[in-house]
Amino acid sequence: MTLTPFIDLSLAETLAFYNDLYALHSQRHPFPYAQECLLYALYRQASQGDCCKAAPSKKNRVDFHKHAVWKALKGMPCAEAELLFKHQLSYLHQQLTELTEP
Amino acid sequence: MTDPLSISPALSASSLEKFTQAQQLAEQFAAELEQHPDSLETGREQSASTKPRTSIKSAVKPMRYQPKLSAYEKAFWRNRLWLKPFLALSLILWWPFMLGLFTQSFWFNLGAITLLAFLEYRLVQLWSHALNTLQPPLWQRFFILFLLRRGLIVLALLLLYGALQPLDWPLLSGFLLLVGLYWGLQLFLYWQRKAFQQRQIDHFSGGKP
Repeated sequence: MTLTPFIDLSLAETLAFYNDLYALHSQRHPFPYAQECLLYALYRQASQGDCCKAAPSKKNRVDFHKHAVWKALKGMPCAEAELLFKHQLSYLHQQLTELTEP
Repeated sequence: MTDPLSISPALSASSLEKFTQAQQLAEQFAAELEQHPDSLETGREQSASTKPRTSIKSAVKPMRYQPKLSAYEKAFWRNRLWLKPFLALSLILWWPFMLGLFTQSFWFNLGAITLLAFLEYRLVQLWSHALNTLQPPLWQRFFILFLLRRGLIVLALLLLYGALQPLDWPLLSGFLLLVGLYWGLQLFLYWQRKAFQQRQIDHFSGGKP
């Protein structure tokens, strides 16, 4: 698998693509939850670095999960997180395309 | 799931390890949610409701006790220019009582004084409302304290009157002179403040240095 689709894009442009993908896919199917959490964490790590915010309430499950995954990436350099974010998004895009257009 | 090893030359070993851990954690959370699918919807609703607002305009609502600055300034100067001299002038109405022209009935005298003081109290509350952005002072919140304060002022004026009587000054003109001096001083302060505000406006708008 190659990283060509996103490697030249900036982080903001990749995020815009992710938002579009999320909106389009969730119209028909639920968006894969694990990927959502992971992409959130990678984006945060790439844009803001290590998580130093207090954890949200456990009642607020989605935010709590995303925060926990971001916390797991603590110490990863921003550049590597950005690379992984693009890589992961490209992989997911490919997967979802195969799923919806067999 | 993706194979992080495919881009491994670009990543450090610790980053790859953290990525794998994060991936496992995310999968674990997804598996948890599969067992309780209804909690995802409530979680999403909650996270949507707790999202920080992006528009400042919609987030900041004017508080009830936080009037506009202009209203505050207006009330401030009305209070300083108008209210205090008005209260001082209204003491003229008290002179008949002070000069010994009381009626025979104690309760009638007391009632008249209280009525005058109550009218003043209501006017003070009306005109000073905009000034009280946090809490009105105690003497404005309770009529009894207003009466006490008013009584102190009246007593002070009576004492002044008693002290000045040997000088044989015409009382009312002396009083009006004091009020005039007060007005003059306040107008001077107002002019000063306005000039300062104008300088500030010029400075911050980048017009004049």
